[in-house]
Amino acid sequence: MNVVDVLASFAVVGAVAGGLRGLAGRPPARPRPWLPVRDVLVLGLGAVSGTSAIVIVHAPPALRIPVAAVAVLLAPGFSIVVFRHLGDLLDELALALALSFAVLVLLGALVVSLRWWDPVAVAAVLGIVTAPILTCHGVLGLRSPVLDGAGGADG
Amino acid sequence: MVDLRRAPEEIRVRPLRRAVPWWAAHAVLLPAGLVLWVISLPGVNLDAMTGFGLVSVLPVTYFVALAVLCVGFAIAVVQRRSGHRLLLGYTVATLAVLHATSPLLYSTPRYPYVYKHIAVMRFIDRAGTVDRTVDIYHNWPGFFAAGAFVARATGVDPMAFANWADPLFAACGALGVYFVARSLTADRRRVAAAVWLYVLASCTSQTYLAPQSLAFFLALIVLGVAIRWLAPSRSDRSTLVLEAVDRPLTALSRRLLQRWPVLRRIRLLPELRAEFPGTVPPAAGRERSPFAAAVLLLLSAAVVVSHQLSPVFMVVGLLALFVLGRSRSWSSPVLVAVMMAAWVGVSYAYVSLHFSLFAFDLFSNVQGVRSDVPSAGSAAHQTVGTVARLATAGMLGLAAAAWWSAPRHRRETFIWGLVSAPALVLLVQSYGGEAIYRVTMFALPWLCYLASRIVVAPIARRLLGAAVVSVAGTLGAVLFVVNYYGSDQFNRVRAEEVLASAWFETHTPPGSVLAYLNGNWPTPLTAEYPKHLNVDGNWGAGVFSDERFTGYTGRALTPADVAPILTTMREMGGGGTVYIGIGPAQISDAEQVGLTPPGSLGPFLAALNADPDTRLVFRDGDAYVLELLPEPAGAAAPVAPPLPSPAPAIR
Repeated sequence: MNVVDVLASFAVVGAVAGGLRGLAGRPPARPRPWLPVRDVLVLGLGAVSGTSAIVIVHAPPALRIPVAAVAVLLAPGFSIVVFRHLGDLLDELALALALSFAVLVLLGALVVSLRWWDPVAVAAVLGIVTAPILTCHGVLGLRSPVLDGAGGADG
Repeated sequence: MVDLRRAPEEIRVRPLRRAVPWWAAHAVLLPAGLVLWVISLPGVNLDAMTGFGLVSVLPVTYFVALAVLCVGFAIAVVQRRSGHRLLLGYTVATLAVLHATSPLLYSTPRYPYVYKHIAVMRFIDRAGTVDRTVDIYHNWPGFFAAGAFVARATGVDPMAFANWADPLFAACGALGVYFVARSLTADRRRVAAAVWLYVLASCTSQTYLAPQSLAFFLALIVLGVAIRWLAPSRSDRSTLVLEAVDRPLTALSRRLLQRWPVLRRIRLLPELRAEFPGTVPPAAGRERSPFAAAVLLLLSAAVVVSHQLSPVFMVVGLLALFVLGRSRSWSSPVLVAVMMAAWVGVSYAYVSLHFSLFAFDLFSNVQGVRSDVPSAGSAAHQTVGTVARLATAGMLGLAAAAWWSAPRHRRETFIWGLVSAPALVLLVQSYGGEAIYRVTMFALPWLCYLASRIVVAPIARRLLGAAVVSVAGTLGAVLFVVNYYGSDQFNRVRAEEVLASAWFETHTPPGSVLAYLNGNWPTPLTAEYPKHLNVDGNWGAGVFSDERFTGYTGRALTPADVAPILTTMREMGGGGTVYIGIGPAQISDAEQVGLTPPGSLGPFLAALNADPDTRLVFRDGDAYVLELLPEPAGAAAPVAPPLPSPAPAIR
């Protein structure tokens, strides 16, 4: 078992722990629509982020490519955006994508400057940080009360 | 209850109308547009391209697909029951048709200048670091490091995903416009219309694999964050500048209107203070400063380390928002400017040797790339250029009409400040002739936002409204396609050119130098490229593009030019061997844009190939590489080696 496998294990544990924290915590008072697209997306991102390092190292390209792309291009940004509910899924997607790109750019510039070039390990560390946040917020969102009346899907 | 005294026709017609749901047309039009697009692609013969690029080989069904989507959008816009999601659905479909066509048709990324970005990413992935002495990209490595990161994490070479960068960054730009528009208005249908207009009008915006494509998206989000979460309250001092300008201008306007009442008819001058610069309140409320500031700084830092010019547009935009009273943060443009100056300081050792930071010549700065080419180029090339200017002028006119037609107290005059602010960059930099295009790129989202008002405005004659939007939208889409794909005869990079370029970088000794006709060659390309820089540290040299070759641009090259050109190439080599790369994209580019008369390169290239001082070392299809022999003709010429078998892996 090498360093990346260890980090990947931590990411998976972190994702599960985040989900359990979401189950134990108090859900937000803000109601959700009956079709919680946003919360399901956030929870799914948490799962992808938590398992991304393992998939990147061990999975075939057909699975590796989409998982890695989602894990580095969406998960970092959404792990920041979940702390502010914008009320519009596309708004959140735009901000999350921008923040993910920014994290990638700055992380990339940093590791290149320090000569610590190991993208897979960095992706695993990203998973450790983002997965618990995403799974926790996803579960909390799904547990929040359903909006009465004509509440449609998010966005 | 049925009224039997009414005419039978009325009784028969009314139930039929109710039987057709309002969404029926969209259930047909939206899928039909996409299906028409998909079926139009397999029959495209890329080798039959003429001077009008991909447009010359696209079937009619492609344009019908665009028309169908525009008609569907127009119907949705006049139907008050159709929500913003339907409008966005048509917008996404239109974006796919316009931007996903090239990666589906071309096996290699479009635009020869994309390949140097691929080379930098490959270098970083292999070396794990940058070398600031190589070129400007190693000094602004953020975007390239991110690309190398994605390549390693996904296991996909940058060449493979570069082709799909186009639709990705086009979608990012559209998302950026969505975010900005949502910051300005709560009307979601208007937001969707703004994004649709942007998708149709962004033919000159850069969406290929390049730092500026990402930086543009991030800059839009930064401006949206500033508008949305850093809006001023009455107690903030940020409106003082605006009020200082507002009062005297409104007083002057009132005096003019009193003196010449006829001016009231043109409805341009404000009569009340509330009419200038526009009192439409921000859509969203204030956010706590720390979160907004942190997001803004994070995004800005990413732009600063990725691109040289985009932070300048960001500073100018943030400053304009503050002056116009739309952002209370005077410190954000200052902080971004400080970050930018600090990064230039870090890179100053390279920058000072190769570039000038400022160019205070407005007349020169507004000239575009290749403004020094003596000929206007082929008729097709001129048409493509005219179309771009028409599209921009059309959007400008539409925005002006939408602004002017609004009730005075609802006019969003401050948006014109945001449209104009990017032009300030032209006072200090030309950015190699590209600044004018970037000014257009950064002004376009605001123009689309202004124009969106007229697209969603309620109209009594809905059929007429739908017809106008359909026709205008289809026209905009056609103009987009002509401008965006009209130069693909030389923007398209063939696989054999990629192989030839890679052969040079991987098979020639370090210190070898590449020459070509012009820069329209996919080079540099591999991680090996720093081994082949010129004596002055630059990459390659073109007969039509390098200042060492004088007197060739604008006229036909003849066999008599071969000897002096080869002599210049030897001098340029600085002791290393010179190789000459030639490909069809170079020839098309040189002849289309007017560097040389059409059809004139044939005799010159035949003489170049036959010259005893050159030796063919690689050929694949119409792309080849010649070696310039160091010894003058007269010595026994070595036998040309057999051509290499299929190209090795390019890394």
